[in-house]
Amino acid sequence: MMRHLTLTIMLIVGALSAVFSGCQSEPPRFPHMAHLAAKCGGPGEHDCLTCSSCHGRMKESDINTPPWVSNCSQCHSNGVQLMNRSRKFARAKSERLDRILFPHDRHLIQKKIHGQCVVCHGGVVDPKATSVRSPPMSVCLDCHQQDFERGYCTPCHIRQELSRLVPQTFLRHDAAWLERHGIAAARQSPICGACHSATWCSDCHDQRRGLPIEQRHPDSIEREFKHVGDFLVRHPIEARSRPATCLRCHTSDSCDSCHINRGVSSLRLGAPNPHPPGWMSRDSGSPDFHGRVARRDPLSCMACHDHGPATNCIQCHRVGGTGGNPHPSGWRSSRSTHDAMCRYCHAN
Amino acid sequence: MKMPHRTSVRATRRLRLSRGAMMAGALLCFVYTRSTAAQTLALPLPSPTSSDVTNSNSTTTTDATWGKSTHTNAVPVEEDKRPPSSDYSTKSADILAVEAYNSTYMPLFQRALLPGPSGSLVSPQATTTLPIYDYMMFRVVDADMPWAKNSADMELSLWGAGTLVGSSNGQRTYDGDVSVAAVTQRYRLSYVKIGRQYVTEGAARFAHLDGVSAGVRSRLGFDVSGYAGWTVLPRWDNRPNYQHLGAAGDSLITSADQLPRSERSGNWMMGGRVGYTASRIGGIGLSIHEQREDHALGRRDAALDLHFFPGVAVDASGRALMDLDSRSLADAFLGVGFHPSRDWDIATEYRRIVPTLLMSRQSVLSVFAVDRFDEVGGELRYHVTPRILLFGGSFVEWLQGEGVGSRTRGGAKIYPDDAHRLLVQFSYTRVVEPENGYHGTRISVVYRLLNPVTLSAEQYTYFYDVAIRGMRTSSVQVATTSWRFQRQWEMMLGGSLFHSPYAALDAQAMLRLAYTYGSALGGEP
Repeated sequence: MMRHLTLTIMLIVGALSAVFSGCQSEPPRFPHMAHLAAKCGGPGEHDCLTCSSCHGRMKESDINTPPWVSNCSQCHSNGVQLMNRSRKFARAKSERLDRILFPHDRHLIQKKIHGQCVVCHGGVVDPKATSVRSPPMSVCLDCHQQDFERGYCTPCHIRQELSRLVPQTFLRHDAAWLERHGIAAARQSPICGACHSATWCSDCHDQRRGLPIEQRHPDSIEREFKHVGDFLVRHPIEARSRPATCLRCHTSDSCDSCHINRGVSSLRLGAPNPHPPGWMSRDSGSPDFHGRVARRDPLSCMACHDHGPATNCIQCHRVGGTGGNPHPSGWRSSRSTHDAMCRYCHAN
Repeated sequence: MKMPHRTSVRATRRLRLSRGAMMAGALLCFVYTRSTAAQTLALPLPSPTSSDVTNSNSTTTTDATWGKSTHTNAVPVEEDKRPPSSDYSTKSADILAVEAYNSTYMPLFQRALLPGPSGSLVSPQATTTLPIYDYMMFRVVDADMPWAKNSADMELSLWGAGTLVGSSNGQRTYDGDVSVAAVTQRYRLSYVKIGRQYVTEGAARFAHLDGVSAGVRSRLGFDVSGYAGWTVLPRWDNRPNYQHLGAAGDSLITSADQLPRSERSGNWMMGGRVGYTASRIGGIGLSIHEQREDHALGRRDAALDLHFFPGVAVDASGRALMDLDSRSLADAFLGVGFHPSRDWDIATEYRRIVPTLLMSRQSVLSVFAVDRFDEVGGELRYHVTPRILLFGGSFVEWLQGEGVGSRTRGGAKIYPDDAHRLLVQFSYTRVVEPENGYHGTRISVVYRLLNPVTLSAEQYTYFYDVAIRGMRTSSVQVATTSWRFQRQWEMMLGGSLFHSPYAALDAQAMLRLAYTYGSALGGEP
């Protein structure tokens, strides 16, 4: 244990050293306010600037077209340097915004916008704003909500890039997204389909596809796979920690199939009995009595014994059997006793 | 899921050597994207205004609103190396995307461990095997139909597996299935999807069916969707797992051949959802799902889902799933997310689950317990700078009849340089459950050595509270080298070393060859 601990600490220290030695401060943002609010037009003062003084090309293009160096060079001798610094900041903040298809000319004539750039780009004059250049997508959805909800993304996004974009506002793929994406998919699956193929779902959820996704992509370190490391050893702990979590993706057959693939299934002739002595005794007070475990953790039983009524449970737990009533307090069902499952025990 | 090691004999505490000899894989990916014709934007067509006068070199604009007249000399310079806007323009573009990939893996390894007496693992005569796995996907998106442009999608996804050399005991030598084979037609605010597909709507959770799904949405915000079809069963028409019954002494059925053959028509499902969405406020939905297994009831659930996003800084979502058979709440979830700025994500949630109510009603174990567990906790993510991301989270679980468990995680992702050539990631995990727990650490480094060459290395270490097969620790080391030797070709060589209670040493290597044309829409690679 000490050897692993030492190795881990050394790696952490080494990584931190490398990281913080390479860290630099964030590049400065372009001072929009200073340019727009400066004194102008008077004797000895420069011409008054508006947004379109530098961003005039926006009206001609469907994509983001930042100013050219010549815009800076008209007043600043070091225009190239200033432009590069400004672009550095833009890249650090968000490079993807360059790839939004947005016809400014068609939007500026809208009544809501009325030709005002700051309606959407108010962040450029707010020094505290974190989103500087473009508004959040929620602003777009003021008018395009219907397009969004039917997964019609390509008017603004480039189709081939959708799978690499991460939503920042609605459907925000935030810290808890991996856990919650199923909740979102339950109500907005058409939107999911705009970026992701159904095969994308099956890569992780379809347990019958052979190699797990983690084994297929060992180099995708940034992706958050669920079963990394030696999950095989840890999976009983994980399963007991959150008993139903496995059922989000796995069914009992996938448990057993994996056990068979790994060679630890009871399918094999002469397979070992994993249960401790006393498992089938009549002493219900014994800590190893199977009834206690079956009540508190039936999913563990399910991994091997979920074969419908045709299992050994019913040998004892049927009406008139020696095992008694298996139904716990509070158990109820609206099914009739003619249901196939019920008839195994309630034949009459 | 219980593993045999829980009762194994300590004499075998040090496991035999498991030596995976070599894993070799090949990944071929072909993605073809084509653009044709014209795409209709959901935006008003531009109308030239008299205030804009444009020529090739300059733009003179009279901004009536701001009362300014500006003149900008538009002189291109060398620094602007981005592609011309015509590359992106969709003014006259109808985008038909066709994507396809095929990936083939051939792992070669030697299996040395098998179950032995009393739960021990033994090393019989080692068997060298060479299985082959193949994954294929073909997808067309936004195809034009005579009655509507950009309205049709098609997706086909297949997989296959076989054992070329040395099949293992009890395993098939070949296998395969169709994951997805569906055609979607969209028209205005409605859609119909036919074929093999996944359904995630409402109470369906995650269902796989051969059938039809359809939905329609009104401009007032109401939407209705439904689905019906035959449940997708493994390997075409076999009932799940019935060919893999347990040992003879563990079952009333001693031979799988004696089992009645499952009728395909008896396994079906149907369901639907009705919802309402208020623009930029939220929505609510009610749904039902009924699933039959051999004509008998498998699941009959109703669900309520809701979501609110009163602003970009807060969102909330919830779901309640009720098992209608027992008229009991099977699953309840409420989550609230806070995004005070673009750099912060904070998510909190509460969940209650009755595990047995999520099982099939045809599972004999579903009648044995109604115990539940509750979980509360939260996660956060903070971009300290664009190059440093901190993340963490903690959850506490109350397991009825067992006690309290917890899960805690924290770590960081760091890009030390502006170009993001180097990524350093480390995390710590602590999991506690009533019988055992562990501390886990992970350190990962990715370095783009040169433009076409990327190196990665990872180290996992786990410290168990209670020894597993006499061992308190396990570790995994993984390293990969990928080389993009042409724009669309990439080769990766990877290797890993495991040291765990199940293997004193497990060594593997993998070779992957990838070909990519264009950009992927999803799935591999």
